[in-house]
Amino acid sequence: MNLLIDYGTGNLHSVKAAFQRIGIPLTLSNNPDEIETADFVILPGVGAFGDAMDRLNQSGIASALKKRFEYSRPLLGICLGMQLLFESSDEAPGISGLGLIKGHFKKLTPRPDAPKIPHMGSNTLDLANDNVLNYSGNWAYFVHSYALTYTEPGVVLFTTHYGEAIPAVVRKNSAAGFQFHPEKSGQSGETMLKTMITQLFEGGLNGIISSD
Amino acid sequence: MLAKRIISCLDVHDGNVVKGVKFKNISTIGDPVELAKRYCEEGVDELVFYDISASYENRKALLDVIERTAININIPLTVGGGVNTIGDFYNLLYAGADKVSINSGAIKNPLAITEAAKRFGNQCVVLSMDVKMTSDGKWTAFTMGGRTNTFMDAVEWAKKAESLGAGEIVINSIDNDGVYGGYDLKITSLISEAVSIPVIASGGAGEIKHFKDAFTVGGADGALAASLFHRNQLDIGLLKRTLASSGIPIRLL
Repeated sequence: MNLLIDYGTGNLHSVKAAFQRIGIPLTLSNNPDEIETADFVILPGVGAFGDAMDRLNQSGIASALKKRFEYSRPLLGICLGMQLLFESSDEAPGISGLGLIKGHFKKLTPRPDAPKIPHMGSNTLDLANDNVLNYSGNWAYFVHSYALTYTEPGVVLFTTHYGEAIPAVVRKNSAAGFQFHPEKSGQSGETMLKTMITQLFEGGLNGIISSD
Repeated sequence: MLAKRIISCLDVHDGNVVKGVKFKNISTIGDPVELAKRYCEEGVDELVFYDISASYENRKALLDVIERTAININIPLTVGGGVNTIGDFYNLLYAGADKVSINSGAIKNPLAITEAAKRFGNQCVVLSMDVKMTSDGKWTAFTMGGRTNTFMDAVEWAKKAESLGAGEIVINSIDNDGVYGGYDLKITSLISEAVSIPVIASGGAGEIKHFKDAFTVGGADGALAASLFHRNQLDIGLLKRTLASSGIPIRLL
């Protein structure tokens, strides 16, 4: 079973519909036991870092996700869901993220060539040095005010440019994340999901993507 | 490079898409779900549903229309109209909206912006403001579809909304709405310079040049239009290709 975690942060319809279109049907769940053992889990994200972590901790979902990671089960975080995979964020000082991957999110600051925060709209993806993925697709829809500042080598696969290089696709072992919203990135978002998702996870997602 | 956004706004009334001139003489244009799908295929960057009757008649936006639309499109959807409380944000976001715009509800209770931003993130809190130049030559925020003068300076209100936690501002020019003479570039640029959150120009688009002006002169990050697209007066593909070839960063399909 493939789960989309429902932890009270808003719009899940479009993520569900986008994965349905690429042949990965998702079931909504807030059950920690299911989340720990499901074949594939997506942590979506609209919301604020601190509030979201409170919800994940109180519901037991946070520990379920940590166990998933220990057992190398595939987990994909989208937007805030990606940020929560890391250790901390300027958005919620003193609050620990899931900490599956080393790294901190800093608040974006306005720059002459990137004057408006949030970074909101379609932007292009650039290959990072460590990239190992084949990729097709172009525009990705971003809406965020915080960006990954440092992390472990090899984690950042794609960046985007908004005043500076901003990590856009990350992966460590069985946990991967998109800073952008593939489900909001038009046709190119679906192409990206299709081409990236099978490559992102070690051993692929055999049996998860239906053949039709 | 971050693309400028072309946004199509669907004014929704009793489940239909409608259009009036200067918020009056409302006529039905079509089915929101079908129109949303069409715009998505034509390359619009974002959609806005605005329940124009909600604020006045205290009605909620039509959640089933949002739900049916959200599963049929792959671009962001903003919904507004009659938004007052954190509960309204929750209901609209859960129905399938990506962002929620608040207008008179924020004037009545500015802290609603802060509360929603804290719960759902700044990025999904859009301040929509109806702006009109009053007889003393000042841009002022109005509510109730342009019926009520708040006597609040538009630029000051925009700055305050940003400090309260709004993630984006839509500037609807009541004077320019539905008359195809171009956006109000002056108030758009004044607000765009005064805040560091994205600003969307709205009201008055009639031709391709108006969009270009909104980005270059008005400093807008997005430009919104309604009837121009609904009545097929301007082809979205042609608009975006023309803007791109004139050097504006634009998402092309």
